[in-house]
Amino acid sequence: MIELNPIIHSQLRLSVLSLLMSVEEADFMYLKQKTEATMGNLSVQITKLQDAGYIVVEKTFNGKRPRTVCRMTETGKNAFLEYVSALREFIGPAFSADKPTDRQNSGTVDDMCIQPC
Amino acid sequence: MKPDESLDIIARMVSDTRRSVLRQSYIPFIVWGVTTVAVSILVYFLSLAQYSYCHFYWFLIPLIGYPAVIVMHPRTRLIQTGMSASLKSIWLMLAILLVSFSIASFFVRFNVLFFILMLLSIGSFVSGAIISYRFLKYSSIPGFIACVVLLLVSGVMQIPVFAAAIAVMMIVPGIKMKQDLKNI
Repeated sequence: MIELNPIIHSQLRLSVLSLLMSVEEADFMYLKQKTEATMGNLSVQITKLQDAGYIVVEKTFNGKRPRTVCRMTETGKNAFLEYVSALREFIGPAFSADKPTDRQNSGTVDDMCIQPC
Repeated sequence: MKPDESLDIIARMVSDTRRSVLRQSYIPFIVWGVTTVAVSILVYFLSLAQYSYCHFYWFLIPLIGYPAVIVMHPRTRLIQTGMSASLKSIWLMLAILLVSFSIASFFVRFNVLFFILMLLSIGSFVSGAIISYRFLKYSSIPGFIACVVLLLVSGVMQIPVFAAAIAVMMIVPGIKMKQDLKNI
């Protein structure tokens, strides 16, 4: 039985990792804006990902304003790719027989670059 | 959460990032393109009016363009991609060359618009290649053709050719990128 990584398999953590996967680094505010999560919830999930070694968090200053920047680690990238492979196997034939119109609006994972560009 | 939902989240977030990259790209193209065309038209008419200091007005391009890009592009720093870092270094190097050529043209007589257009065409082509945006790559071709035209025409008539080329290779792809954002 294929098991999906429980650290990644949560809506908010998966969103954060998907965003970080295709960028070099992202500001906390960018992640908040894209995931539409609350600051508290996002902070908790980011800490969990950081504890797992999937992302690194850097606190810097932009002038006088504090700035939090998140970046994916190699461990995180590998874990994410394994998670996507596991998902594909999990869905298996259903994925290939899926109605194409359901996914065309957002684009399928196959169509998109999930490697760091 | 079902696996299907996971895939949808991944697809949505990757698509969002792609949109952010395009958004980071189209604003500079439109802003610099419009500024350059507007200043070119101004210099053209000042030249026709035989205003002696008209060539100094070219420096309005960085003076207007740079602050305008910063004002219209406040969220650039929220995200850093490998692509945006490469593009930044390329355009920084090109900007240094453009300013150097512009200053040098006051001391040495040479076809400065030819070199400037050549650099901008290369910049557009490379940017199109880096962000994998075919339209931008192909729209730089008229820029290269206009470079040849700039070798054939001289004097004040070079300015409309230069402005037209900039409009085609910077403003048009910028607007196209903006429209494409709606479809991603």
